[in-house]
Amino acid sequence: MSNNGKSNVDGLIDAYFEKPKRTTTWSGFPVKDIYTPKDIDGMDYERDMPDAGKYPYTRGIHPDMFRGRYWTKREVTGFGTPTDTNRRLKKQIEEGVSGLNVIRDNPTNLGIDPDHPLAEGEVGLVGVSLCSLKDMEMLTEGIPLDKVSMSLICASCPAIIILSQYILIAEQRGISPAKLRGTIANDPLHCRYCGWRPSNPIDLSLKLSVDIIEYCTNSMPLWNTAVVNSYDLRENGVNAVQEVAFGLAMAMAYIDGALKRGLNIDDFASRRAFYCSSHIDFFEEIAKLRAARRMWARIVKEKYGAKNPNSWKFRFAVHTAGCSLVPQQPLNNIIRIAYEALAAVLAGVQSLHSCSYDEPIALPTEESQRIALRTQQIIAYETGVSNVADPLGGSYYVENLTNRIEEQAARILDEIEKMGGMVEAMRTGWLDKEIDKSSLEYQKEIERRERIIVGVNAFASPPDKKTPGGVHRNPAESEKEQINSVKELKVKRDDKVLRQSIGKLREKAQMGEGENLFPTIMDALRAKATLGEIMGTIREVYGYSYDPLNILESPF
Amino acid sequence: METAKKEKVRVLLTRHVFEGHDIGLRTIVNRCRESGIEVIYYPRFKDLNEVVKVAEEEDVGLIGISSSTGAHLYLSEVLISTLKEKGMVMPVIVGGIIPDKDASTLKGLGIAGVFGPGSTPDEVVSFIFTLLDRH
Repeated sequence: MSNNGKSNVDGLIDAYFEKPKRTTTWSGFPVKDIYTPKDIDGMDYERDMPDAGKYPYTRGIHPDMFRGRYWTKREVTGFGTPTDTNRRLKKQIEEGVSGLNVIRDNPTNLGIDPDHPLAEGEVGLVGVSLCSLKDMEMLTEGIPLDKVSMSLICASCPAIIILSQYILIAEQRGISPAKLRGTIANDPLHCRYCGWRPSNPIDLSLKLSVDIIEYCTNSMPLWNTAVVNSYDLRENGVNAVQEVAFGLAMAMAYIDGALKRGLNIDDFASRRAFYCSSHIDFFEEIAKLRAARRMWARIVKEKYGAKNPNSWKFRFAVHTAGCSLVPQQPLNNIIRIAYEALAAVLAGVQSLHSCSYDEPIALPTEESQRIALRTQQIIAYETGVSNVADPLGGSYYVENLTNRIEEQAARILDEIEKMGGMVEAMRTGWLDKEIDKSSLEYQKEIERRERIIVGVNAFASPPDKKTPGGVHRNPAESEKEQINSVKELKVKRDDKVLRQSIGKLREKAQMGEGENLFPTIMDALRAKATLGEIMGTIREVYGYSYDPLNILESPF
Repeated sequence: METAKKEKVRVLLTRHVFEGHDIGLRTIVNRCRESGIEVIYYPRFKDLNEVVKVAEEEDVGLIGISSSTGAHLYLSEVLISTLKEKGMVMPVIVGGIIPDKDASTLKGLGIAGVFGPGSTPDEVVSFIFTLLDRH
């Protein structure tokens, strides 16, 4: 007997005659059975979808796309001590990644040190602990910082300090900041929606975010100064259209901030990037990324008046959709990830993290991460899809869907603008409501079987959740080691030098929002100040508690 | 009768301040409320004393913790021992990214229900009703 109580033969006959029940995309666009020239009526090739490399870049930002260079293959990594993570990074290099991608633990995210009384249990748990200059030194030991492309993922709060650590370690090795290539996740707005407690209030977050943009604009021409993370919003349950609209609205809020600081749009817009999802609805995701590219180009050129073509380009990384993965029959996730990664490549991605199949169960093991990388390599080297730019351009369906996503996203953008921009939309709780509405609907559709997820609400036998590679566990001693290491640092450093540097930081911070804190933060790091101490000092000047968790008092 | 009984079911659902994921927990909160369970939603507790204090003040019948960071064993152990120290008898359920093989360890610690990946909101709701009707 099959699941629905029919005999095997009846089930077989049903299966033979079965046709798709859901004829809408994953985000709810009704879809016809065929698309024809009528569906792209009114489109103008030169205006709307010219060759790749031409404004508005619907078909890609480079004329030759991957013929010029493959996308960067990087896999997010971070756990335990900086040395633990360094080992995994070296392993990844050995296996053929083309960029590195480091993620921090939650205490670091919050801007507190590992020896904070509430950090126990979390140090090095979901990322690496990066509290002092020494940590960054260990993290990057043996890695040629002048040659690699490094992506540093962190919440907004510690971003300025982590980037300062990175620059200082490079300098110690004789590498100038101008030579550093990579990205800092510098997106304080989105952080309010990825679940972490936003440790810095929005005014201070935005100030530090603009400090980063300003510093990098002047000193780090190869560095991406800010990334808008619409991926985390998508993971929260919003749909493809909302992902585009919310992401672009956040990017506009940052641009407004940087312009207010007196920067010129063309000085910084070309060093911005986006961090997007690639979910399971194949064509919709491709259309989504193409639509975002066209919309962004028009916004930056027409609304902000940017003149430099590089400012118009929507450059993006993709993280395949973790939320599309399920624990049941987990090896199936490898297939989901492959489709999602393929969609990203067909959409002309610049940098790609493909998930590991065991992510619904734990952090990835070395083996599952290798399979994720191999997935990218199979796409790159075997399938042949990277030879032609935007191979789906001109498809009646894909062009039509691209247009429809653009139209709906533009409508949401208008709505946000009428509210007074993204910061207002967040402040009033509007965005929260939109996210909750979408995510609850998503869950209900699964339960009503309007969305089929194989292994979950269909073909659910066997229900096993076994991962052949076992489950990743952090090294048992790592947390203790890291806590002891920072305690030791605090005892051994020169207290007088430290206090001077903290005093100076306080002075500079008091000079107001327009005063860039980068140089003073670097001095404090040289004096062996820690993440929590630097952030706490700045927080106090801005009228907030030294400790975002209100346990510690400032020792200075 | 049925509704009167349901109105008495009052639970505390919470997650740690370091917990980066909340969509699962928010879904459970919503579903519990839709099902007539009274939920004290307390996101972002700083330590487990705080959880126990809120549970006591709000007079709930059950504590539910969501964890996706891998801290579930640590959090459960400390919560159970804090409850014991206070002499409180209170069922605790845990959900989130929890490897299957940790479920028995958690139950050994005294956790009443474990809802790892793949659990449905309805499973959680009916577990709460069954458990609290029995109490």
